[in-house]
Amino acid sequence: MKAFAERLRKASIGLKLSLTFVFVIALCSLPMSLLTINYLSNKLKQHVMNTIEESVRSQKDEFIELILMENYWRAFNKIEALSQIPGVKEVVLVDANNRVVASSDPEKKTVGSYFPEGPDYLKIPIESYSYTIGHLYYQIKREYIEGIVSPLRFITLAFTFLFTLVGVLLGVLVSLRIKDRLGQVREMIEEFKRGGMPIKKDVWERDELTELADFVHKSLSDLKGIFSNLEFARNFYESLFNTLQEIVLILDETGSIYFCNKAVENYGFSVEALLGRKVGVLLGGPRERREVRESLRQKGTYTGVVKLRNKRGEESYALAVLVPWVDAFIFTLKDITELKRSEELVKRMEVFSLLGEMSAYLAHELKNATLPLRLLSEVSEWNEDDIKVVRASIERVDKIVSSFLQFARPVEEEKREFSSWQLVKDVLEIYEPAIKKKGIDLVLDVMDFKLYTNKTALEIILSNLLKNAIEAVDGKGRIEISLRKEGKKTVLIVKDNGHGIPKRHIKKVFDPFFSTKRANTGLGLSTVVRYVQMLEGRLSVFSEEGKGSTFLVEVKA
Amino acid sequence: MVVLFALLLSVLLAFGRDIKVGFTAVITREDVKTIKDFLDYLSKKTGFSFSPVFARSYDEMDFYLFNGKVDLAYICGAPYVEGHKKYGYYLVAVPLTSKGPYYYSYVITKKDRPYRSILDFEGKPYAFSDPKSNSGSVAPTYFLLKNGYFPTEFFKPLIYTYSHYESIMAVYKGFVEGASVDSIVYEHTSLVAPHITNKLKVIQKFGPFPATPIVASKRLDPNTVEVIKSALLVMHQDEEGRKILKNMGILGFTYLEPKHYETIAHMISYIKKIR
Repeated sequence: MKAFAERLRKASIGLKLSLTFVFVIALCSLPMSLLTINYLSNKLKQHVMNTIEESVRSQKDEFIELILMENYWRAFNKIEALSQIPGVKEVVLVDANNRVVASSDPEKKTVGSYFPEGPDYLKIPIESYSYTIGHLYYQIKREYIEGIVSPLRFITLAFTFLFTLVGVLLGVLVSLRIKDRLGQVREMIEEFKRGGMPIKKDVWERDELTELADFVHKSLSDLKGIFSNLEFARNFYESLFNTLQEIVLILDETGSIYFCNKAVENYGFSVEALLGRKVGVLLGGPRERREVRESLRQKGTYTGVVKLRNKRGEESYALAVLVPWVDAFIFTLKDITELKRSEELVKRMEVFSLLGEMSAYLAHELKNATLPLRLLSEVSEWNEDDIKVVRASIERVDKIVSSFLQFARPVEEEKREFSSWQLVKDVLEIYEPAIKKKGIDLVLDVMDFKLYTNKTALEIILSNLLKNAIEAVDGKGRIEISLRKEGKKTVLIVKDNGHGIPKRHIKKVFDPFFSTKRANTGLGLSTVVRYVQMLEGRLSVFSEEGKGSTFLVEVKA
Repeated sequence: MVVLFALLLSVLLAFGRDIKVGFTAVITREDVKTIKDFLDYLSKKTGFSFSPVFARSYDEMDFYLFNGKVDLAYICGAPYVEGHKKYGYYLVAVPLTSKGPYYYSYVITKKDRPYRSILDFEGKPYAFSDPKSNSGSVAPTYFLLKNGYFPTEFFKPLIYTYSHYESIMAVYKGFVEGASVDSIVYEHTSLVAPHITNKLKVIQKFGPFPATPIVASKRLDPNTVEVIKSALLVMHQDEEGRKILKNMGILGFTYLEPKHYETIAHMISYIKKIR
């Protein structure tokens, strides 16, 4: 049954239509015809009954006489005449004792014999003054009814068969027409899929199918126009994409590439080779891979300079931007290697310029420092004070040279993980005696967290800022050191309530060798700037003369 | 002269009115055309005018003959015997068959029935024609009575059809098992409707008896009767007459003396005594 239903479900529209027609004919026409025939049969039977009853009623007196007078032969003639009524099979006239007076089948129901009343007989009482003196039994001739009804039945069946046949033919014809129309629609769609312009066949008749064909044709023509525009746009944007030097990737949430432009070929990759692979294959270092992966996981954005690795293993720099887009991510990589190089060149040039400037400062400082020595060199004999002066000059020169070296040759150290407290603790160990000696109130606001960066660089930054702060406060000053994590950034604040920086000096405090203090080399804040740049961070200063200064350092760590 | 005048007057009187000729259904099928042809023929031959009167039984015909509604009648030997005695009927002519002016009472049944005698029909439905018919009632009753049976009790039931032809049909249709019929009617039926008699057989016959006569009421003038009688007796001599006679199932007419009917009178007398 289930298989049949499944087969029926998948049957052609012609078969379904034919079956529907046949079903409707069988369900409506045939039962109606049979009901009509049955009704006719009953009517015919009733007609025969009415005829014989009417005949008996009209000859009632004669029947009474025939029974009472036992006029058998005349009774037989009457009965025989009644039995000739179409549709009457057998007629038997009996007296009050059910003795046969006459029968249309006298050899079986002999006159005078007892007539056993059977269920197959209909009977009409013969009454004389309300007294039943006999009965007339009769049977309806089924063959007669059938003889009339059978041709009708045959005709009905023949017509039903004919209608069924016509129904099937109609179903087939209608389905052929539907298939033809749908075939035209399919042809139009196929032509459309092949890229051609669908051609509409003009047909004379108008119906839902031709309207559908017209609608499909119009829709496909419209779509063709839209697709042409889209194709143009696609070609345009594809060309645009491929002419971009910037790598554009579309990533899924796992970081797999499912679209990329031809810019990847500049890095030795083919578009086909990259599709389906993880984006990490392009990224040079574990940091970049981790950061991008994390952004993908959080469905967040990412912007940063990353190292790229081409197929030959060569590294370059790129500005990476990751943006969520619908259920995917757009990931662009703009090659900034040249920019980086230019930046370094500029920096180097700046350094050279700075060096020139610094050299002048250095020469000036060294000249100043060695001035007592030059003056004493002309004295033949040094006293104890002279020796002290010489010693002081030499210490001064040594200090200038050490500071310069620290500024000019930054420490190169690999990144490593360390705790925030460890950093502060290591720096405070150096300055703790000075803080105690000056009675400075040191306030620490250090969040406990892990850092991953160049620890020495951060130590130098904190050390120089703390040293400046200690020098800036007099008497019972106050210094606040704050180290905390804000998102991906580490924020270091060193605040003092010292004398502050005059407005006129504020732009110069970061210049090398600028110092308002006689004993300083003027390289402290320059070194801080240098190391903050090295860590790709930001340095800000807020200062008010007489109230103190606040240095804020933000680095990625 | 007076006699001659009287004869002429009576004949003239006969010319002045219709002579009613009675036919009973007992021996005559209501073949109106044959009867009309017969009467037209007689009219042509005698110059009288004839008109038919039909009766359903011999009793009815007796009544008509007695009260003058019928002048001439074609009846059976038994009613003639009784009528002659009671009402003075006189015999005009007797039909002539190939067996002469005689006929028999046949006992007939269906060919497939086993009966061989009227005595085998005990307890069976059996048909007589008219209670006054010689062949259809008197003769077989006489035979049964002679054998110790009362027909009304012997047959179950005894059915009167009031027509020999109807009795033949009653047997043919199986309504009765057997019947006593006039041999002239039976033979005539075998000529005109052989498909009926082909299914039947004669198993016994009583007779011969003088044939069913044409009788005249005593009211009818004897001279007129003589004219009619003369015409009847020569009827077979012309072509037209023979044709009509053929349709009537007889060869012609003859005359028998009334004494020939004494046998029938005897049987009637016997039956009446037993009853």
